[in-house]
Amino acid sequence: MSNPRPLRLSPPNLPADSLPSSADVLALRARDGEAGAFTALVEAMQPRAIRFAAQMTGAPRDEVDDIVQDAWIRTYRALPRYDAGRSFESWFFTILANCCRSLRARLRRWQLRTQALDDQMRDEALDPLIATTTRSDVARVYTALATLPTAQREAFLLHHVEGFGYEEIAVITGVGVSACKMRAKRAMDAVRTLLREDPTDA
Amino acid sequence: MLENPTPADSRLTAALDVMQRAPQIPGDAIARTAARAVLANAPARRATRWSLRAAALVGIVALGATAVNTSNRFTARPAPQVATTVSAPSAVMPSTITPVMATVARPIVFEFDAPAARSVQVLGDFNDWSRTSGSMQRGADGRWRITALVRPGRYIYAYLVDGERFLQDPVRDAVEDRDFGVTGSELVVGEAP
Repeated sequence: MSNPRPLRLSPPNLPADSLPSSADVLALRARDGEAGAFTALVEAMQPRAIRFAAQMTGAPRDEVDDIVQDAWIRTYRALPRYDAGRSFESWFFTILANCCRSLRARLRRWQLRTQALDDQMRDEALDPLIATTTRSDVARVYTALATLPTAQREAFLLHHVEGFGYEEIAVITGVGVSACKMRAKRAMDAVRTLLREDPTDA
Repeated sequence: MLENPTPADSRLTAALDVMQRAPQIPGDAIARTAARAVLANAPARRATRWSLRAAALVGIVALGATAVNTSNRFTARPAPQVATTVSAPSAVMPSTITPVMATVARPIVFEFDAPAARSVQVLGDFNDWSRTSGSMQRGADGRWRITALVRPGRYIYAYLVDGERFLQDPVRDAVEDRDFGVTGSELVVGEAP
């Protein structure tokens, strides 16, 4: 508790190009007009962008693609203002998180839709390496996240799935570090509560 | 790694491992996403504007086209070739055609009716969609014109009005530029006779 850390410092299952240092370099090269650098930047970040937007919004994949596309349009527009002193990852996720929030604002009555998550679960269900219990737990985590306020869900996903530290989340969300910690903690409490209610939890 | 670990945390860790998996992305999606982001900022602002505002203004004609009375300014007469190739099915054609460099560029008159516009540019494959190119001059009749030297080939083009709105040519068939994911108009310049 005294030394909080993200569950993972770097996301698994992603190419090496997605590491922050690579993204920073690519962003600077793209900003300076190097041909192909922006495409390489999209390639490096897209898996995380799609994953975050899907888990954040619960929207169907085509809507998720639209959200991420909008984020890239805004990113390209703002690229001349990107400076080397800032992590591109957190800079991009600031834009992406705003796009996800904008989708929520457009909906009269927001609730986390489950189509995309159902699709993801179906894909995961096809993977024989994932235990049945784990698949069930993933569903419970998604269910718990669906009940949370957007800010808590956002903090949880940024910290425990995307691997951002609280200082970076503070930059991304524009709120203080303490508030970010509190949001992530409350989200984690809700997730744990739901898992504890599971009768398979010995 | 989790703060205040509980007996359920081994299960939670396993669940998060699954949630951290990278989603599948189609092979061509990366290039398409990047291209759309670039195009949405320069030259086109939004792809949707192409189709939404197409009917607002009236169009261009290549040199010698019958609807434009400026053809007599030029000696070359490519118009019949242009007119007969516009209706080619765009879905099976490449989005751009590299001009035949060995052939001679031909003067093409672009004309666009936009009396209220502050500026109009014609941008297309032939000038690499460069915003520094294709500035048209406003005539006393409120129509904007420019004569551009274009090599024989097939091109997709559109008009940039006031530096922010892209409009396709309403007198031409709409053609999707698959490189950029937008709809413009098609121009085919034939070989000089």
